[in-house]
Amino acid sequence: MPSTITLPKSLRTYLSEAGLITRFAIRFGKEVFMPPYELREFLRQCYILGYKSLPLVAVTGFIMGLVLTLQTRPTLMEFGAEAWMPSMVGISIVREIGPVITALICAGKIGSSIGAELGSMKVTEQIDAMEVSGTNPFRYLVVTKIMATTIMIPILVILADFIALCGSFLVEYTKGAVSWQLYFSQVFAHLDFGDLMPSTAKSFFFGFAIGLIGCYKGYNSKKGTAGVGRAANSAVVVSSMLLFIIDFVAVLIADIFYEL
Amino acid sequence: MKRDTGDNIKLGFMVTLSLILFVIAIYFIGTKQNLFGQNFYITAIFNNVNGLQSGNNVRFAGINVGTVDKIVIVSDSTVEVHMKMGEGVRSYIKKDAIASIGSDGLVGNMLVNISPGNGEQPAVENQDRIASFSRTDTDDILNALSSTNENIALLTRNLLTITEKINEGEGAITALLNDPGMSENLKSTFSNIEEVTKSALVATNRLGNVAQDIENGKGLLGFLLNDTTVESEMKLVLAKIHESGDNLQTASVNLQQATSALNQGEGTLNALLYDSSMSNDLKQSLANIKVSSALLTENMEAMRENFLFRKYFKEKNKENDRE
Amino acid sequence: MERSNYHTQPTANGNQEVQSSVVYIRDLYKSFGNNHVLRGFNMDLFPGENLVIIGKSGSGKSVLVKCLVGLIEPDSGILKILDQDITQLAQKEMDELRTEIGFLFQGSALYDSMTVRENLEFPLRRHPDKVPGSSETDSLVEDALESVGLLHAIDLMPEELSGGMKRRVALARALMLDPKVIVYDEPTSGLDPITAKEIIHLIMDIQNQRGTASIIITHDMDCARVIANRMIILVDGVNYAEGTYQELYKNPDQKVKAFFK
Repeated sequence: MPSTITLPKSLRTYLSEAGLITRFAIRFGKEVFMPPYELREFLRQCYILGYKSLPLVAVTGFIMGLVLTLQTRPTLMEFGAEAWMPSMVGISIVREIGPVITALICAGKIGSSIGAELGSMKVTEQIDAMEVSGTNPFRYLVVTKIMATTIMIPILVILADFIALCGSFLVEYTKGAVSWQLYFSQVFAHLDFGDLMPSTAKSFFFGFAIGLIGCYKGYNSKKGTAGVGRAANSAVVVSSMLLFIIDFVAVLIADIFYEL
Repeated sequence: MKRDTGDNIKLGFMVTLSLILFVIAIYFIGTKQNLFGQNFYITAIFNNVNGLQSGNNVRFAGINVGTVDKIVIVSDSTVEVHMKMGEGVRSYIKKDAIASIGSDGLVGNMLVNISPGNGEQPAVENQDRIASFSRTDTDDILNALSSTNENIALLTRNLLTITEKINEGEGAITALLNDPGMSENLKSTFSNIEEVTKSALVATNRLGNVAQDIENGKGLLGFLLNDTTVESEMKLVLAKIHESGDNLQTASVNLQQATSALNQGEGTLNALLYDSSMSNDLKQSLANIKVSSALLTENMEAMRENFLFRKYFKEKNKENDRE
Repeated sequence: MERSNYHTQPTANGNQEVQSSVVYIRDLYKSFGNNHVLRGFNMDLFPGENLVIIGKSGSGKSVLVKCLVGLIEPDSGILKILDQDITQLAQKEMDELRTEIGFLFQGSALYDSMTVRENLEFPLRRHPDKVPGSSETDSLVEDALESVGLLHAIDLMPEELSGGMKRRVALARALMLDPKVIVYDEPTSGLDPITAKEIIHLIMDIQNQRGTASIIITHDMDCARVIANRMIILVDGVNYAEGTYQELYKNPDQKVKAFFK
């Protein structure tokens, strides 16, 4: 059938990909509520995807806190505003840096591992084997993984925020001799629900995006080992890009709700 | 299976820890906004809130006691600010407390300051409206500061001349300073000043009233008032003003002596310097003097302008000229 | 088309009765875009027989077996397993039916993230009715592994196993639910000739013990010769020729002869 409009090939590829991902997400939305629930596998995935990412997230978070404070301190000192350090670092970590850095790290670690795992399972017919043995592979593999990332990323973000603040506190403590209590009361002095809630909410979407894209790419991976590699790679690329788009949209929406 | 259990414990630990952190964060932010516990609301009306936003802090005696709940525009020139505070501070905020808008440091957030009233009023109730005091802009502050500076410069110049004179040991001042009975004198002087200023105030007030009446009652009333009885009363009043004016003069001389003596800081005077009630008296007196003398000059000017008194002043001037 | 016209040969086990077929396929069509893979395939599988389907790469073997277990939905045709038309079944009924079908995948398809034991337990998890207790699960797993001679590997991960061992574990897994039909997709591919022979003998042993019906997809003639009671040669999506190994060996057709070189 000849198409009435001829779109550029890249645009066509993009649109069909977006359509397929949406369809995949809708399928997830349907299957997530359908029994049987794979609770045990879900917990296992939470452990593998969440707990196993904790060291990496903790280290990056800690370093982010250190670096942010070290970089900002001299500038604020010029204005004689070191007293603003805790609240400034606190707001920037809670609002933006914590969620985005954690999500990007996880997109790299979790997204690629999901993409590669599902990709290789697809290529070696393990997904078919699952279906044949009466287990719905979509529910067993995809739903559990997406649920796990959706739940675990916000948890990782909260921990990363806390660890980053600890890193920032360490700098303040050594350079400015700020006490623990003062530091954290300063951090909370300027934090609002308008900072905390949108960033927590968007972390859920970050987690969902990472799981969704990883699973989509792996589940639809092409035959052969090259297909697995490509699945892992594009899972990271697409989900990282999607994270920024979600972030942007989240900021716009949060503004509507919390500006007034 | 066994491996699963261990994994789940670690996972549970991680999830619990993060939930605890999250709850702590919510708790701290919540207590800051008085989300938990009893709250009460009070309002205040301002002409201009200077960029105050809901969520800004409300301070009482320098302590953050609540937040701005919402800001409502009531009319083109009035804005109603709703403040939310914890029940715990309600008993300290009296009905005559005054709300003003200030900022936290030069570049900080805007906030509402609640200044305590006399403390004799009962505590505010929920939804009460308290008085407000619109914040002076920085321009006003700077203007006030510059005029104050000028005054200070003048004052110090005067003080310098006085102290120089004292140092040189001229006249009676030095003798006075070395007199141990000085403090007694000083005290009585102060009470004198107070009395004088009080009477001056009363007199000028009365005078003002009379002048007002005269001005208002032009025509027939003015004629009536031109009665001799009134005139004699008027004369009496004016004599009193004279008296008080003289008193004021002596008082200010005394005061100058007193201040220079205080500066010298010797003998019993030194003790006086640390007597806080005394210095309060001093302040009070100074303020009184300022007010009364200002009123005096004002009334004098008014009288000069009034046709009823024009004649009197002319005569007075002539008398002075003759002398 | 009448079944009697099509095939009435007695089963290889000497059972002289004409039985209803376990798998019954008529006019099966499947195409992917312009690629017409199956073009009216017909097949019957009778209880207890070993049916070898042989064909070149791209002749539609894999698509056929995927249709058999419901992984691919055919475009048209009748596909009945144990008298149930799988194209008409709901997901739940399909899952029920799948317990009757064992499937040995080409690359073994063991779950990488699970131990051998967990791999074998996996088919049981959705069918608790088949295994009442956990101790019975254990014994079932151990029995299955013992029958393929790999009881010592029970707690190893698949990556620690050789290709032949993997294939045997996969075989054990396919037998876990005691299926009535077993589908072997290239059981000897990727294995050295000696290991391949071992696997073939293992398949035959199981066949003899359990009396299941088997469909073996292969392009390995040695395998076919040993195992087959009956063979179907699949060319371009249709059953081009069929018969016993001997019958086909003597078939003069060029395309059939090509397989026996």
